[in-house]
Amino acid sequence: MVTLLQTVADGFSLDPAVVVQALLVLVGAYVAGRTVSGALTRIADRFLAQRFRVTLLIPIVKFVIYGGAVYVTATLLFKLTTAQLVAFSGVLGVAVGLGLKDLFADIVGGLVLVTEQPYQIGDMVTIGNHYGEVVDIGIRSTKLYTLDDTMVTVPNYLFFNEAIANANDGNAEMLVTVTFQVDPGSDANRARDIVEEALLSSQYVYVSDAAPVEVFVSDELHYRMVEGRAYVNDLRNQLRFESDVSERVLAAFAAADIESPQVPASVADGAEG
Amino acid sequence: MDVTPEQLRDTGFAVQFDAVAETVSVADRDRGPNLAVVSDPYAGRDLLVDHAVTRLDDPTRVALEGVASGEELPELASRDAGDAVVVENCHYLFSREVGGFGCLEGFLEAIALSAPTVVTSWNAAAWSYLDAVRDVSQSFDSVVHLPPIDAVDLARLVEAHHDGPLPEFVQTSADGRVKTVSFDRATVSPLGGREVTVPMPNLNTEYLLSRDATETVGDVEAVVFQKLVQVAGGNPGVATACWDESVRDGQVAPGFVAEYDPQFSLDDDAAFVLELVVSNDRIRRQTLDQIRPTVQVDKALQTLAESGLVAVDGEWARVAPTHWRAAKEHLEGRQLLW
Repeated sequence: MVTLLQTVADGFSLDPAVVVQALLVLVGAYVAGRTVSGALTRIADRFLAQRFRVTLLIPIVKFVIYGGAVYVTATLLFKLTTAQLVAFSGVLGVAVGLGLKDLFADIVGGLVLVTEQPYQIGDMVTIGNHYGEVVDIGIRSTKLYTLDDTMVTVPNYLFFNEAIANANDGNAEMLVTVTFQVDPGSDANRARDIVEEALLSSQYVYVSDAAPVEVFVSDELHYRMVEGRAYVNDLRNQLRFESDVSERVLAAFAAADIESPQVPASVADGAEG
Repeated sequence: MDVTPEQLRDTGFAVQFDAVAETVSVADRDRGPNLAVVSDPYAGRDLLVDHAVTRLDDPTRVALEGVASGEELPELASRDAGDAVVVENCHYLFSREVGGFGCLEGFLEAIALSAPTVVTSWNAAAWSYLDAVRDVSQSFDSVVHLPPIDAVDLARLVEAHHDGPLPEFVQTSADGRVKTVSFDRATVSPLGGREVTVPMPNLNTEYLLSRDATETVGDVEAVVFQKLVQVAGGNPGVATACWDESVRDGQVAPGFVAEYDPQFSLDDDAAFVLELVVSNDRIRRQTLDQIRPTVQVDKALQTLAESGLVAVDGEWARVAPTHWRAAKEHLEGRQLLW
């Protein structure tokens, strides 16, 4: 092991000027990565629903910048022969085995995320127990902005272990489901029509052949369930879409004497007993 | 747009005029055809309907002026195959609310297999919406869309529209050159099989090749009309409105043609009100209040009027012709128009 380290050290340059250069390259890459990422994000926002065409590029550009910086730094600090390169690989393998395993897995996970793209910046995804909009894909982690205003940092290695659900897959439109329960004695067909018209007249709806509005009625034990499915025009409007539809459906239900399900007497008596 | 149907026909719309004439002439003994004329506001669909009317024998003509209740519509069941009915502005047959589709559905049911020839006209944005949510195109034997006009045809249209001799074409120091590169959208699959839409550069070769540095007047004229087509999105009525605004003291220059950026800041309610205005040509403020009682309609209209997008005239709100393209592009960007 000592021989191995000695071999690597022989190819390692500790000239202070070189070290400063290497540090400047790393700092410059960090600043460039942040600047380019911020600029692309601002450009993307100008494209409104078409922003995904730009956000697609952000992690790729960041990885190119950071990868280039690592390469330049390595060439500045190391003048490795083939033997030293083999030795360095051995040292790196030991380091990974001893404590950098998770960090290494995160970085590899980040690389796979960039190439395979199970999600991209702007997508609404579920990773583990977290559901939110992807706002950043970094070398080590992905940041999600959840619907309850919380920023969640998810390590990239989870990509290998967890199922990832992507609700929109690079599109602004996204399927949203709203459900209503009505009394079995109410007119279910009328309720269905109301839910359909509320969905397709919403200011947040998006309809096409590939994104239709659908309404299903199912008969449950003590009520009928009316389930509407439609695409919101921009996933950032998901809650506003649900609220808009719910408000107008409930108002129309009231006007059409469509009632909410009542607790059956037998169930209510049982609860009291 | 002060032009006759014949003048509009001669500026690149012969195919559409011929399609209208052909459709209304094929009524058989049992049943007349159903025709839909679809265009953006100001694009000239009323002229196309006028052309259809001249080919019909004493048709009953109704122009809807606001959200219809159904009572305005002519009765169809008792008419014969030789009769003809013209209903203009059919986008007023529905309103964007729960219970707002009944009149439209009744009308579509009535014209299905009806005996008389039925000629209708529709706002293009409303048509796209209704085709997505109600398959409205299935109810018509023929649908005629008015396509965007090009610069050469626009020059002819402006000659017909302009009152008197054309103004002098001059070059000013102000910006106003036509774009030599525009961007079209193309779908590619760069990574992982996912399809993405990307901008593809499209050189304006016609303009680049025709440009002659030694020629001044002809060059400027071409640039003016190219730019008018660009700012109007190819809409003839919008282009002529922009032309009227661009003529100053008997002169017109590329720099006089105003461009409006579609990237303005609107909240959701203002954007929805703008969508309703754009997809209805014009709409009553009272109707907007009825469609969305929870929206502060007057506040939204004030925002839209201050940005020049909407002109409010008494009880009516309509999209300003010079800002139509900016409004349309903004709404498409938000996926409020499809």
